[in-house]
Amino acid sequence: MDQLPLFPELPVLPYAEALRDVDEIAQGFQNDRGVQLIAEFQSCKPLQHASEIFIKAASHVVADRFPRLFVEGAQVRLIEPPPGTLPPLL
Amino acid sequence: MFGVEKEYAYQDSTPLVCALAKSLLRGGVATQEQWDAAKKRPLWFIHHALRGVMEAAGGKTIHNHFVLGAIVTGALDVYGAAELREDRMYIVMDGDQPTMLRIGEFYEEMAKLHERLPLTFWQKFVCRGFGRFFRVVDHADVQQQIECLEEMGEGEEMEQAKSLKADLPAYMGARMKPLSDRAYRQILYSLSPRTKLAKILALADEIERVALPVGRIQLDDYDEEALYDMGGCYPVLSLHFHNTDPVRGAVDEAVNNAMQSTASPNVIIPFNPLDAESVREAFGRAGAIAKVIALSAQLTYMLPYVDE
Repeated sequence: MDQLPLFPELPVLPYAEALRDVDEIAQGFQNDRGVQLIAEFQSCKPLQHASEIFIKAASHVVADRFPRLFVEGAQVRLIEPPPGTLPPLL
Repeated sequence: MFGVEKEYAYQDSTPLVCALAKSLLRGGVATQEQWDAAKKRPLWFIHHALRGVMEAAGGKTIHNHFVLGAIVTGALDVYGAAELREDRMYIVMDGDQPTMLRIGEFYEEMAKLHERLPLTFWQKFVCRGFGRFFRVVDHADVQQQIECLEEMGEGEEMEQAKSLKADLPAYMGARMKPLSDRAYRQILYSLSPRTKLAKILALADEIERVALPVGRIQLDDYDEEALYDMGGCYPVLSLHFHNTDPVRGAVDEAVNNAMQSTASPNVIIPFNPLDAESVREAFGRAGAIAKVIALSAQLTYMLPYVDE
């Protein structure tokens, strides 16, 4: 009598390798310490407030020390990607 | 159409881009070979997938037709404040300047065969074909302007309406009715298939046939809300009777209207990047629209440019 295997081997998908690659990229991104730090920063209001104070203070320091470089109204800013750009993946 | 590969706009994070890449594979839209060709980069892969689908349907020269671009994006308005959703992305096709063509001579030729033929052709090509997806400026815009002026009912406006009306040929009059498909094809088959007129009439019939199954793209409240603050679409094509007709003014008005704020895209195909079936359907729809673009380009290549 023929026996049917309880867990028949699944046929290998023609794009299995690509799926594995994509999973690795997604996983790598989630485990990236930089990405985790940004997420932590964005979820922490006191940290964001402290950052604003630091930015203002740093702006004054830059203005005092490098008056020639200082442009009125300019501020030292955290560098954030503009909307529409990707996180640093590629 | 795919001019600048790095201009894909993603508001969402890499995991979502990866989720879309997986759905493209699972939905059978893109292949392992395309993944390899994209050097295992998800963004390039998505680009290859969209390009592959559109070229398969519209031919390798699809990117040359009209002034159009096609992208996959996570937000309809990148300057908008709407919160992005993980289960929503869009294929967007859009342009920012119309191809201005003179069709008057062909309309005149058609009208000689049957006074209702120009209107029937226009309905097939514009109303039920290319114009279903892309903003076309033509005599219908002038007719709308006339209606607005007449509603105002003041002396000066009435004079202006009268003057605009005089510029529109009788065969495009508001009271004209289109021919049946049978009558249209009878005229078409009576012509030598080598003539430009026969080719144009046949293409309009084909464009209508190809565009019909694409169906209306349904936008939900979330998408409608995103579009609420956006302006009108940029026209992609304008059809003129002659070089100095009132359609020209309508083109300027449509472009100005689009420039008032962020313009709404011409084609918006929403999909859920986490759902392979939804991705397959959206990319399939993009392919069908590519076919309409390619056929419309064949037709418009036979028309002279305005001022030419």
